Amino acid sequence: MHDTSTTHNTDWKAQSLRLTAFLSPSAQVGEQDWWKVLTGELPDSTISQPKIGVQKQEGKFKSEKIEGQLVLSVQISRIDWQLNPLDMPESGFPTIGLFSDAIDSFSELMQSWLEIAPPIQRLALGAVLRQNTVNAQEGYENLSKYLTFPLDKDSSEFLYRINRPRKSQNIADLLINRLSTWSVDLLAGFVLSPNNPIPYSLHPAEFALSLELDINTSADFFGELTPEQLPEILQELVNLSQEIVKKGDIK
Amino acid sequence: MNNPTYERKVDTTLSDSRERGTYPRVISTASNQSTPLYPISSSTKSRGTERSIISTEDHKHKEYIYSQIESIFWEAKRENFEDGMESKFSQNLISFIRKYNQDAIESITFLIVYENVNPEVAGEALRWIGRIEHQDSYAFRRWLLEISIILPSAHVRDGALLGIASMDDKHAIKYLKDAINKEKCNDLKEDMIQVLEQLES
Repeated sequence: MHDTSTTHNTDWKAQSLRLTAFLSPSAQVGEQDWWKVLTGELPDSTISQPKIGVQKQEGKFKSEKIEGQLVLSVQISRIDWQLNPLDMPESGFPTIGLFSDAIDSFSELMQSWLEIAPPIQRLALGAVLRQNTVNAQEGYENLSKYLTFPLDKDSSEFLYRINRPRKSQNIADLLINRLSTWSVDLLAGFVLSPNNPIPYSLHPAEFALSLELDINTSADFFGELTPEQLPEILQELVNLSQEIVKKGDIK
Repeated sequence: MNNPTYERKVDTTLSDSRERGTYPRVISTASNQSTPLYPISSSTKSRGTERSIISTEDHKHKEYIYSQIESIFWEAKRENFEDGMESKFSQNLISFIRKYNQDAIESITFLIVYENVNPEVAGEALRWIGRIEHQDSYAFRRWLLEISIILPSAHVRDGALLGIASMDDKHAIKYLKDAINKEKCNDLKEDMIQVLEQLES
């Protein structure tokens, strides 16, 4: 069980990061070149799905400390930016690098986008994080340090999700949802035959603590987030995610 | 003999859970948060925003949903609607929303905003979208009404206005004020002002 005054091992790696902007009803998104504007290059692929109103662009993104696949998805009511791993590694969970590095690069990129983004009603920062652990028992022991209750090391299939909303420090009346989902994950290999999938391990099983974050501004907020407020809000979402990563499930 | 294919998968639980039939989740680099499109109702279970519609499976699912709602709107063209009265269309629409939640509203949004449906049917749909009791889709339904109040068709704006009045949510005030400033049809403008007074009271 954790002590809220302490911080924990911050060796979390990011499997993916996401920024979601929920558009204002007044927003009009037509042709756009945001992917190119942000990266300075053309995306590797552009896919349009007009029947369901989706445009998607993606390509490799590399900064000083991280690299990944940057995906832009534009829909009628929302825009998603995601940074995902480039490949499945030979061993271990796929990641885009240390969370501390990844969030810096990703938020810097997203701050640039917010300068040219259409009117936004809500903003959300999502992250899937992993921290390697030796086995399930040690995983539960380590996970307990981030939670407000101890985990029985002999139990299994633990999955814990909680929202601890907080008032924004920047905007009066704005509530920020702080959702975190905690578990210990197993990565294993399988051989799939046409008729009968037979579990077959090519590598030893690998374990990791898993933390999924979804830090988002409340849907109940009246009005839009102004262009002046957006950078502050994004920074606040980033700070809140970093706090959970360091201090665990705190109020 | 077929060569087996190898995939690496991740189980969200612990090792022995595989024996109890939990299905592993594939990690792929091509996205993977699944999220309701315009999420977030006021219920505690829906505060999350994750989701993407990028995968092939999702795409097929969405195309299926779109074909369903297109059929519902298409059939409705033959109906005569009476103010405030239920119809086969309204029943189908409500069932559709209850079944597919936010995916349903997303597909309806697409049809209405891009004017792919008969405006009278769209207007009727918006009336019911503001009226039904369905918490999971609430925020997205409200968003659809707020965007529809300024669309080109007067039938659509009228339906959106009635939907907003039924919802009676002050969140719509800002968008209603914008719509009043833009409205050129005097009768509709007067109705909008009345609804604005209702929301502000």
